[in-house]
Amino acid sequence: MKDLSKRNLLWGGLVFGLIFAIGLWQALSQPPSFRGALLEPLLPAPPLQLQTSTGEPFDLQDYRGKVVLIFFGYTSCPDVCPTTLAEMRLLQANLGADAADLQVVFITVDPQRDTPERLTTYVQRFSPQFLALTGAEEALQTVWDDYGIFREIQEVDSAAGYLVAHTARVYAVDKAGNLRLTFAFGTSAEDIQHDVQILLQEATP
Amino acid sequence: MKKYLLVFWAGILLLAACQPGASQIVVQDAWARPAGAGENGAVFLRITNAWPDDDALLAASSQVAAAVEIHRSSMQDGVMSMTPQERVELPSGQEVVFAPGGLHIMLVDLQQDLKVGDTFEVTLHFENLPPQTVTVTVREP
Repeated sequence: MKDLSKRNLLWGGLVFGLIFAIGLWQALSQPPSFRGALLEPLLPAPPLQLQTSTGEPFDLQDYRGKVVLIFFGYTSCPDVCPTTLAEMRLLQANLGADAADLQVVFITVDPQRDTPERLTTYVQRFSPQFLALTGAEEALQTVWDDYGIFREIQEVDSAAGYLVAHTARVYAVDKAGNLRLTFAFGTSAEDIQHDVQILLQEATP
Repeated sequence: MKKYLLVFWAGILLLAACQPGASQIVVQDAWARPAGAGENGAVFLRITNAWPDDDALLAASSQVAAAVEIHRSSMQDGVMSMTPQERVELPSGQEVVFAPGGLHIMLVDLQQDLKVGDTFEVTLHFENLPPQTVTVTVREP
């Protein structure tokens, strides 16, 4: 009787272990599923050389080993840009210590009005870790073009002067420097965090 | 007894007199993001027209900004643009939501910093019903 129950236990354990191993193998052999839009084929992020709003040179190449989230916007934008930056702040806070390998970058689409001072004040309200980038209009135009940013000044009847229509996606550059994912405006903070956590867990090349 | 009746009718009259301006337009959850003086801000809220007739929001005003406008953000092919709104329809019995990425009251050129926990007033101007002043709380979403 004692032997029988021991044997049952042994078989049960074996079957359970097998099922567990199959599940684990399946989970590991499948590529991680992202919630943002995966950019395929996998390509290096276009060069990004601008100045930070505090006057230092910025080169995306220096950020290998980090996950970089890029958002294009302007400081006169009262709705979509602060909404996105607030989401980025929430993400940074939720990641805790893991956020050390995350860099959030805000690139102006309105260099005419976005002075470095304005940009600094604007992004620092969300987080002192965020960087705002600007540069000569030609340098910015190259970056907008390379990243597929639609940007158009709209002369409207507004006390705010002109408004700028612009692509409102967040771009994620992985640790290897590839332009990996984009998140449409309105993607939930949880979904972005889910994807960024996968990117943060990847090995530094 | 007559005296009581008089008080009763006076009460009824008073209620009737109060009716206009009582909450036919119900504004809830008015909030704004933090922003600095010289920047633009946005106010979000929910407006319910509990009046039997349709109405429309035509304008908004506030002391905190040089100008106040009604705008709608809209997304097309991933591109976000804002359009000033001359009027926002408020159909009878319906709720209209002003929320991030959509309708918002834009505070142009803030005259003061809006810090978390601050409150300020915004007056909404309607086509038919009298203006209504609401208190807006500054907070993170």
